[in-house]
Amino acid sequence: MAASLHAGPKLARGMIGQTREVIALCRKFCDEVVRPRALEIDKKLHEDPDYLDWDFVKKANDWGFYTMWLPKAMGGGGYNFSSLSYAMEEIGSVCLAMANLIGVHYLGFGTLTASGNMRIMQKLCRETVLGRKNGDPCLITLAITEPGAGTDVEEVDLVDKAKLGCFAKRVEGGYIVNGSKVFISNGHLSKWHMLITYTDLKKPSESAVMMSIPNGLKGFSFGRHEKKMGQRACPASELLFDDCFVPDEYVALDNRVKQKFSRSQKEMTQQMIDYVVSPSRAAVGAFGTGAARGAYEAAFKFASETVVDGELYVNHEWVQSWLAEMHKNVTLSRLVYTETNYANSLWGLYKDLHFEPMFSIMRRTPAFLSQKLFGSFLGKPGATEFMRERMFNDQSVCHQCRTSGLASAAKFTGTDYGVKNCQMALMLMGGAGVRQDRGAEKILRDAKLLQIYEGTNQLNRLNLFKCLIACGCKDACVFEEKEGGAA
Amino acid sequence: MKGKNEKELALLAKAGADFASKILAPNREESDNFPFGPLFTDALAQAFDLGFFHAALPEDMEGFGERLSPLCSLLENIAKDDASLAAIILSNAFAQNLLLEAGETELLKGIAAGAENYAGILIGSQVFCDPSETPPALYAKKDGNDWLLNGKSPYVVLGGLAKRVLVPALVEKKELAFFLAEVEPAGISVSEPVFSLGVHACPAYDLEFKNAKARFLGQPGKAGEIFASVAGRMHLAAASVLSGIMKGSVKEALDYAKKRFQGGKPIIRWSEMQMILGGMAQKSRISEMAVTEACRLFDSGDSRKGSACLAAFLHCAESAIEVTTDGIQALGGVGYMKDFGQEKRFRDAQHLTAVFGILPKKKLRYLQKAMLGE
Repeated sequence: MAASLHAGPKLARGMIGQTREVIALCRKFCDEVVRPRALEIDKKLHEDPDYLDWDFVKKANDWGFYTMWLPKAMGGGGYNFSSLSYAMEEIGSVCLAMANLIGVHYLGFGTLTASGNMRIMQKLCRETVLGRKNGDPCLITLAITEPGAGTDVEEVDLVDKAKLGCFAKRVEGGYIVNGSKVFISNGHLSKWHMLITYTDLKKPSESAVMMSIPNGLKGFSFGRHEKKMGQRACPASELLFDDCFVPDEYVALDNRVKQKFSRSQKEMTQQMIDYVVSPSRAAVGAFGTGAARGAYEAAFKFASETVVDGELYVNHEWVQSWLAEMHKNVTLSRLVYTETNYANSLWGLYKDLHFEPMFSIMRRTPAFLSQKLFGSFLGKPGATEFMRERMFNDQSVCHQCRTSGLASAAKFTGTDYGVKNCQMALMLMGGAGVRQDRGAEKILRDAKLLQIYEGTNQLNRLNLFKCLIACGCKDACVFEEKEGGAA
Repeated sequence: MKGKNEKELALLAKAGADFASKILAPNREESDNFPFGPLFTDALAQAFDLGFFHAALPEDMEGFGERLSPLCSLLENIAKDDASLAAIILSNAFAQNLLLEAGETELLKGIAAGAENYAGILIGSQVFCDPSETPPALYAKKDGNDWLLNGKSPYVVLGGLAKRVLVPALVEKKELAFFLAEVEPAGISVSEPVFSLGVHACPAYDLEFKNAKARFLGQPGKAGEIFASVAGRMHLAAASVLSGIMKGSVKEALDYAKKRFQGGKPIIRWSEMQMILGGMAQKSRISEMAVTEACRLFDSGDSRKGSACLAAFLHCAESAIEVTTDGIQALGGVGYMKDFGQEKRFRDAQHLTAVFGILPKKKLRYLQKAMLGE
């Protein structure tokens, strides 16, 4: 049964108005900030690949985009997490790089949330809220990909055979980290980095450690910016760790915690990964929907304004058919990420928060009261224990699989349609589409990355098989192919 | 450079491949940085010395005559490593063919003989932009014995690089005709290079004409026919560039898949990756076969040559988009980075497919011309 059928009747009505509010704000933001500068910044970054668009980050910070979806009890705006996907579609339809400059911050925060460590969550939220007030943005990233392992690190059945190099050694009072992480979106622009590394490189699936790394920590530094084809305003950074001592106060989750739960270390690592990627893949699906929509809108505008063979282009029957196909791609992509958000609301990272009466209580409680009532409790060990109990013990494997499988579907559906629509738009526009100043070609360059990050679409298809299909065959196994099937 | 037999054809193909792998490939990223970095003028000078820009000319102008096999072979072998130079040769060949089709053989002969460098032999044009499809905003008027051009010509490929440009204009604001104008000092303003999706080192420029002197080409009322005839055969040359891009993409993906590990073994050992690579290789091979067969039909004067050229182009264009999209995917994150060749091939294939005109309309035309005989 669809997650929407489960969730729909329970959903707080207030979410609808709140989501409308978010979309309206995003449209205003696009008109005033994103659209006027998207092409200019893209061009500037071709002239100067090391340029960092602090100006945009500060504007997004001033508009409240880095605190809107943080919990109200921690000083954030407390907006429902599903509305983040709509925001990403809205901004992504104009500029995917700038949507990423906002969205990745919540990937970092979501990763921290998946650790259940309320003390560090509260600390980072406070710094982010303070950063908004002071005009000094405090962004968070996720650092997991390594030079020799991309797809591997998102799947416990692969990671034990991966070529990993980033290693955490347990020492008195913390860990010493050595190695590097690559392709870290927003790395150079962020103040905190949620690092996933391992204490045993032969058994990483059983030895994952999550740490929060602040800028300036001794032994931690930034490497190069990657030279990307698109999404250039959003830097992909290399993070370097050289005998970097990370004290226990920055350790969000490690084996000492995981031993307290009934699932195995490996199962908990996968559960933690799924808690992160299930909402983030829905968001990337929303990025893809944004790309599909941006391309559709560019093509429709062109067809509405151009005369071809003596007739308005939009009145050619085949053009109408193409535009209908593109419109369908947008709609289907949106439906799948929306369905995934229902699953996340029911069984995933933000379960229960979107339903009555919880949503209304949280929404109607004034921010100062919310912080006063919950703030002092959240920093105490009991809050973390409660959160972890709820997260790691109260989610069934079945619900974990359903959420993760749907998230993969949202990711590869939205991003494949995103790229497809861009390609259709360029074919439809002919030579006019290839000029950067017309905007359509940038969407394609930006969109291609969506099929790669947050797990390649190939990995996501296999994850969907593992989560939603394999149970139908008792002999089915995933990621264990003997010799590639080829003769 | 005179090519009259298969041996010389093979030598030309090898010259193109060697040039691309030794001269173009090592500097591909830097060359592609244009217009934000320098143009690869040294490579252009060497290509001129090797006679690459003469390849589409008649034999008495040191070219390969009317056969398309030599040009296509050269383009395909260069495009494997860097489609920008192939696009320059193709654009120039298009303009040279327009002159020939317009009956301006002596004029072209003079240009070819008098060229002292690449700028001298190159002719800027809007390449596959069909002036009868979207009428130009450039107007021609008679001034004594001269013709003067006024208005704008957008996206003239090589327009700021070549000594001359060949553009369509409306005579008396109604009839189409082609004109050849010297860029300097003929009252032509050339924009900065237009920042575009792909083939960055094959730049295009927006031109503005103010009483610019120009030469009328061909006969009145024949511009549409001239364009259609040239576009008909040059589609095959364009297909060969796309085929070359696909070959390069397949090779780089295979090489990488053998070296990159995932789940403890090279990714080429996983059948999902094999399926991607197999699909890429299959589409590339069929494209190569389509180009070869269309060349054979064209060079032998077969009556089906027109439909073969367009069909080859349509197939190569659609395949190139798919192959280069998978070509990045096979490399994962690094495929998206400029350190590797795949992202450029992806952009180049998309760019060339779009800039050659509206692809679905070409499909309609194929049906009308080749199948319905309209």
